[in-house]
Amino acid sequence: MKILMKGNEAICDAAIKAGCRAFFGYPITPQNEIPEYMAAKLADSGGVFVQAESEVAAINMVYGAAAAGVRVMTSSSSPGIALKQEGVSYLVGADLPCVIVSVSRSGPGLGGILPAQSDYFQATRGGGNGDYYLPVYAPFSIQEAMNLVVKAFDVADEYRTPVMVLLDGMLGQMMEPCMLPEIKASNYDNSWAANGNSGKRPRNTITSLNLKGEGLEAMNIRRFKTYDTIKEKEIMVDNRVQDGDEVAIVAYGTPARIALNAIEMLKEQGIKAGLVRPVTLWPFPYDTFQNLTSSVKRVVVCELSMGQMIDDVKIGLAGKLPVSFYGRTGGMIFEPEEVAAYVKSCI
Amino acid sequence: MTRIVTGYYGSGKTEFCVNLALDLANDTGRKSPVVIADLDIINPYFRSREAADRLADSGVVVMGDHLDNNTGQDLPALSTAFVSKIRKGEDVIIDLGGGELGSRVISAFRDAVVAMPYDFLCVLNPFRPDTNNAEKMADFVHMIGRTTGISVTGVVNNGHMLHDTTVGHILYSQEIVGVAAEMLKLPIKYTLLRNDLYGQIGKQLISENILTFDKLQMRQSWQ
Repeated sequence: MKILMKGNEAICDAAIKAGCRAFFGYPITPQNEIPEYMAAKLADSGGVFVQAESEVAAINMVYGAAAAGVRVMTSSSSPGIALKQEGVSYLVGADLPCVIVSVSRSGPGLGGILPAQSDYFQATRGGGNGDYYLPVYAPFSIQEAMNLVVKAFDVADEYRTPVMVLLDGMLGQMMEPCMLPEIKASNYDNSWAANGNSGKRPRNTITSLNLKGEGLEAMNIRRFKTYDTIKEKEIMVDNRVQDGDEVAIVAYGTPARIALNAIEMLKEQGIKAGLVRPVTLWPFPYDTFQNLTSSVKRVVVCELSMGQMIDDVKIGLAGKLPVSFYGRTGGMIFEPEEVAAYVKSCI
Repeated sequence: MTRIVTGYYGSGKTEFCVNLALDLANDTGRKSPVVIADLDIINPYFRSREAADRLADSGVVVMGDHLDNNTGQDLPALSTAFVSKIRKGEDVIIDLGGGELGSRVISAFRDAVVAMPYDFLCVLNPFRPDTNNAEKMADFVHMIGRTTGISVTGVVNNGHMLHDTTVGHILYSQEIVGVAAEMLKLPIKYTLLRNDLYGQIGKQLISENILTFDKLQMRQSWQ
């Protein structure tokens, strides 16, 4: 039977079911229900919850648990994710799997507690040092958030990389009927973990330090080969554009929900539009934009930001079609009527 | 009269408060506006102060924080302006935050509240995991009584799945809330449901009062 769950709570239930046994976090609105829920529930599953003294401490505790081969998660919101970036870079450098949930609010700086998507660059381009990417999943419903958290743990373990699940604050705070996803037994290798060798195998070392130029370059090249495999196998996109649609609206997260309503309104006014919803923000579904059906004459990108994902859409289109942008920031959310009116003004 | 409204996180307290306020405001013989005192210090989003402008048009005054009902902050900066309205015996609906933590706030206003006639209503929804059976509901109501020092006087059947609510959900909820009410020896004071669903099962509802609505007040179509 379905139950009614708030996004932030649902993520925790999914994570615990996926085998998450350690959580380290620090409070910040609008993601506070995640550490609060983990504090209440994780111990029942034999897990460990620690409220760290800061975001920086939390991400380094994640490093420790991940190095020991434990499924581990942390969560935060915009300025808190900014603080974690150093640790994320170290996790990548040490090839450690973990899941980072980012429930974004409006910025820059302390900004505000209302929802926003101005952390697309933060998620997909990162703020830590070095050559790296993170797989980033962007759900648009509570059910999809649950499913993608489970997926995030599997992808993290399979490719030995931190994985981010990015929600705008609205998805963290809103409720929806949903069901706990079924978990497939995942068979990942963690023989690399530093979890006590009892003299039975050679010592495992976890580090991002590599002082020899050749060695570090080889590590980077190997990691980017893994990224090639991720690009080949893990791209997810919800492309609802149909033959005959003249406009493709591109949106992820909450704006994708609003865009679907706007598309219905436009249909009533005789304008055919369809939604392209990237589910993985990295790797980005560039090919989808090269292969849009020929009836599409214009692309409209809608984000709760001043325009960040639009850069990836432009890379994908490579000048093939004109691109327009509609965005709100500061926690303001556009209504379906606004989006419909903007799309109409573009054609 | 004062109506204090409590419930588990996400039980639909605010949706109930807003609908109750609109129902009371409908009475054209009113001498003073209906007041919603938004004492939610738990949730950053979906608080009744978000609906303040719309409700003002319907003759309902929302008193949230004393910083102009700013929805972009989660400071516990509550307005206490509603207390004088309670003392005058005006209609005040107190919308508490969720759960034990949210309900604690009322202790600060306990003396003023209990000096006048009041109802203490607990909103129940069996589709939230922590109140999904009658025992858990009864435990929750007892816990709220212990935490606030005020005994709950009635329960509200608000079985719902937001936009996906069916008559099946409401009847299932009525059964479970009914058992909980019997265990607690409390009446089901209100049932809240959408108009079209009421049209189908209105006669089967066991409730002192029934509140109906066309559209959810606190949710947009895309939420």
